[in-house]
Amino acid sequence: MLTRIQMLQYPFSVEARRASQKFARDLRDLSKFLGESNNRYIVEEAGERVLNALDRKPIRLVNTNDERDVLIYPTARLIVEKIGNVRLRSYQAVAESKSVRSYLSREKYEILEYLAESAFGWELEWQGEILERSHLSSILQPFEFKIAFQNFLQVAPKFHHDKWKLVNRHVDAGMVYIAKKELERLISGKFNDLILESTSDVPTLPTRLTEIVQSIETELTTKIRSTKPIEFSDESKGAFPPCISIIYAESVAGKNLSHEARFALAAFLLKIGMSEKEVMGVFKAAPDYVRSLAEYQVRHISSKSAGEGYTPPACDKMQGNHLCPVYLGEAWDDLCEYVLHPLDFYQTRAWELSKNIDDHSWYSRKREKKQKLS
Amino acid sequence: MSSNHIQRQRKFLQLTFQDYYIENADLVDIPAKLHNREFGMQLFSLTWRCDRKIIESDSGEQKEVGCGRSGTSYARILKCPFCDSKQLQITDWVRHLGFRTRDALLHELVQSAPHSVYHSAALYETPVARFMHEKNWRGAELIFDIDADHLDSKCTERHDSWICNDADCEESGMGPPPSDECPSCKGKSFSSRKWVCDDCLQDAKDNTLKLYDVFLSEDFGIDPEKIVLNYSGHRGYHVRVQDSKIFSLDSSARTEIVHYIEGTGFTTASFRSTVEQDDYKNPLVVISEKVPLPTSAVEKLSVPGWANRVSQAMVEFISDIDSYHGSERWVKVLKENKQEAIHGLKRTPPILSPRVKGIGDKFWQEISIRAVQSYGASIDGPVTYDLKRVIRLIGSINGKTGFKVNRLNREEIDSFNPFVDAIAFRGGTLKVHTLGGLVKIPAFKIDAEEYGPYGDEIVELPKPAALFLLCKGVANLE
Ligand code: SF4
Ligand SMILES: [Zn+2]
Ligand SMILES: [Zn+2]
Ligand SMILES: [Zn+2]
Repeated sequence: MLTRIQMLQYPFSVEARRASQKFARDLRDLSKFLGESNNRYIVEEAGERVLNALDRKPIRLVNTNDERDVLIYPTARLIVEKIGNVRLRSYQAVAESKSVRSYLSREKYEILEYLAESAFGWELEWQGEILERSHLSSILQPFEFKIAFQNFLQVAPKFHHDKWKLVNRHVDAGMVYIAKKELERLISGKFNDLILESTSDVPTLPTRLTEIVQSIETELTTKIRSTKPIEFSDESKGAFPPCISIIYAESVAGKNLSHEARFALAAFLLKIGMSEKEVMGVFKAAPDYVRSLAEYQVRHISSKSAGEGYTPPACDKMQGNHLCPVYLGEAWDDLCEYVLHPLDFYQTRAWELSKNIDDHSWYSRKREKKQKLS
Repeated sequence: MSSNHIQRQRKFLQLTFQDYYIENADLVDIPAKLHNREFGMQLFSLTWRCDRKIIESDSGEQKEVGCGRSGTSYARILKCPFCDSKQLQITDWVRHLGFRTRDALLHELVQSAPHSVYHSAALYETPVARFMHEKNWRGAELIFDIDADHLDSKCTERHDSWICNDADCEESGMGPPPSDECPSCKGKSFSSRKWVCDDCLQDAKDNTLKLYDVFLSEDFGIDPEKIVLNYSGHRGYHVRVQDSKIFSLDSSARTEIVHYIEGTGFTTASFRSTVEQDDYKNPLVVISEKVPLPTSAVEKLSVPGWANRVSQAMVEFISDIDSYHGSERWVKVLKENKQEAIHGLKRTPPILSPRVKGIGDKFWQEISIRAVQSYGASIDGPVTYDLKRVIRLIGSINGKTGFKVNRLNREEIDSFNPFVDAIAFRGGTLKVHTLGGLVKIPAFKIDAEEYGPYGDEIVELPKPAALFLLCKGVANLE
C-alpha cells in the first residue's frame, strides 16, 4: 500500500517495521548488523538525525535507493535509548512527529486512513468527498472523518485546547467527527507517544556507534542546560500538594482567586509556618489587592481561636469547592490517594524529600487508601 | 455497649451473612477473568499484628516492644494479649486476595462471611501481589458509581443528621454537617448519619438511566450486552462497561469520558469566531442570537451528542432558575424573562430570544455552559478515572445495610425498589435497642411496611428491618 518513500516517511508504519525486520529482528541483531563496516552509512545518518532533533531542525529524509535506508530511524532511536536522557528522547519525539505531520498534510485521505488503521489499529470512517457529505447537517459537513472515541482518547487528552476535549466534540454511536487536519495531528501525536513510552533493553553497541553516542552526549550537556524551575525551587514548596501548588502559582501570577481559594492558601501557608508578612507577599500580585484588607484577612485567619489559627480545609472540602485538581482530573499525585488533608500531604512529602525518597510504593504498604466505598 | 456485646453482635451478623452465602451461591456474580482480579474484603472481625519495633520512651531511653505475634478478634483490641504492647497494627480489611476458580471464591465467602466484598475493575497479571507495580496492570473495565452522596438530593435535609463531637456540646442538626464549624462550640469535628429513602434513590436511578441511555448507549455506542448494571446495596447504582475495546484506556482518557458525561468543560464559540476563522472546522457549539441552536428537529441543524441537547438543557436550567444560587449578572434578568427565554428555546429551530433584553451572546454562552453542567449525569468521577479502583461484588451483601447488591438489567431497573427487591433476609423477628439519641432515627419502609421513627427504645421488628438498623449502626441487638 505504501510507496518506498512513504515507508521512509512513516517509520511507525507496518511496512517500515517489516522492512527493517528483514535485516534485524531485534535490537541485538540491529547492533550486530550496524557493526559491519559496509553498513557504516546508516550509523552516520542516524547520528545526524539525532543531532538534528537536538538542534530542533527538521528531520532530513535520506533516500539512497538502498533497502537499508529504512534502518536509519531505528538506529537513531537506538542511539537515543542508549543515552537514556529524557529530554533528548522528547526532542526526538517532537522532531520525528513533526516531520510526520508535515508529510501527512500532503497525503490523500486514503493514506491517512490506511496508516491509522494498519499501524495503530484505529477505527476510522471516511465521510466521502464534499459532495457526498452534502446530505449531512451543515455543522457536520466540514469533518472528513469519524474516529472511534477510544482511539481519539489515546491522544487527544494531551492537547490542551478546548476543541480537543471530548465534551466539545460531536460524538455519535461511539464515533467522533474530526477534520483531516485533526487526524494528521492525532496520528503524529500517537507516534510522538510511542517514542516517549517505548522501553527497550539496549544491547552493547559497535565501536563507531559508541563514538557517536559519546559525541552526542557531549553536545547534549552543553545544549540542554538544566533549567531550574524558578517558582517552586525551595524545599517547602516542592512538598506542596497539587491543590496548593496551583493556587499558590496563580496567586503569585496575579490571577484573581476565589474567596475559598484565598482562604485555603492563607490558612495552609500560615499552618506550615510562614509568617503573616510572607503570606501577605503571596497575595501582593492580586488584581484587587488592598494592603490593609489583605493584612486584616491574613491576621484574622492566623489569630483565630487563641493562636491556633484556622485549619485549612480538608480534601473533601477542597473537592467540594472545585479546588482539588486531582478530583477534577487535572493533576495526579499518588500520595493524594492516601491523604485526607493537604497538610498531611505536605508533611509526608516534606519528610520524603528530606530523606530523598522518591519511590512511592511504600504508600500502599503503610497507609490506608482514602477511597470511599459505596 | 460492652465489649462482649460488640463481639456478640458482630458474630451474629457474620453468621447471618454466612447463611446467605451458603444458600445463595447461585446469586453471586463471578466476574469475568476471575483469576486476573484482585479481591478485598472488609470483615466483621479485626486482624491485629503486634509489630516488633524500637521506641523511645519519654526519658529518651530506647527499648524494644512487641512480640511479633498476630491474631483476630471480634472485640476492640487495645493491647497485645501476649505482651501488653500497645503498638498494634489493626485492620478489618484483607486485600490482595485472588481466586482461581468460582468454587474458591464461593468457599471463601462462606468461610469469612465478610461485611463487604470488593474486586478490582482492573485485570492484573498477578492480582495477589502486594505492590501495585508487581501486580502488572493489564487493563480495566470502565466503571461508574452513582451515589446519593454526590447528588445533593433535597431529602438529605429531612433524613441526614449530624452531631457535634465535642463531649460537652449537645449541638446537632439535620442535613449535612456544617461546612466550617459548630454553631455553638465552634468545634470542627462532627459525626454524621446518612440515611436513604425513595427520593434519593430515585435521583440516583434517574442519573443512572441518563448515563446508560443517553451517554453510554446513544453517544458512546456501547453494546447493551456489554453493560452491567447493579444496585450498590446502599445509596446508589454501579455501571460497568465490559467491552474490551475500552480496557486499555488510561486515566486521562477516562477523565475525558467523565467530563463528557458530566458536561464539564463544555465550551461554546461565538458567531464571530467561526466567521473569521479561516478553517471553519470548529467543533464547538456556536451560541449566538444570529445562529439558531443545533437541533434534531431540523435536519440541516442536527448534530449528534451534546450539541443537540443544549437547547433542552437550557430549557430545563432556565425553568429551574429560581433555585439557582449563582451570582452571575444574568441571573436576575433571566428570572424576570424566564418565559420569553424558554419560548425561544422551544421553537423549531430553537433560538436565543432577542426579546430577553440585557442578555447578549456572551451571557447566553455562559448560561449554556451552566445548563450543560446541570444536565449532565452526576457520577463520582474518581471511581471512573482511577485505574485501580475496587467495586462491590454483585450478589454479595452490603454490610452497611444488609441489602443485596442486585444485578439488574435495563428493564428491571425501572421498577426496581431496593426496599423490597434487595432484601436478603426474611422470616422471624429480632429485638433491638434503637439508638435514636439526640436525633431520631428516620422512618423507613421495608416490604411496603413503614417503621419508625425511633428514639431510644427497645422494639421487636421483622428480621429485615432489624438487620437494616443493625447494619446502619443505629441499633444494638438486645
Ligand atoms: S487530594 Fe487533597 S491534598 Fe491532594 S490535591 Fe486534592 S485537596 Fe489537595
Ligand atoms: Zn505482643
Ligand atoms: Zn459543638
Ligand atoms: Zn433521601
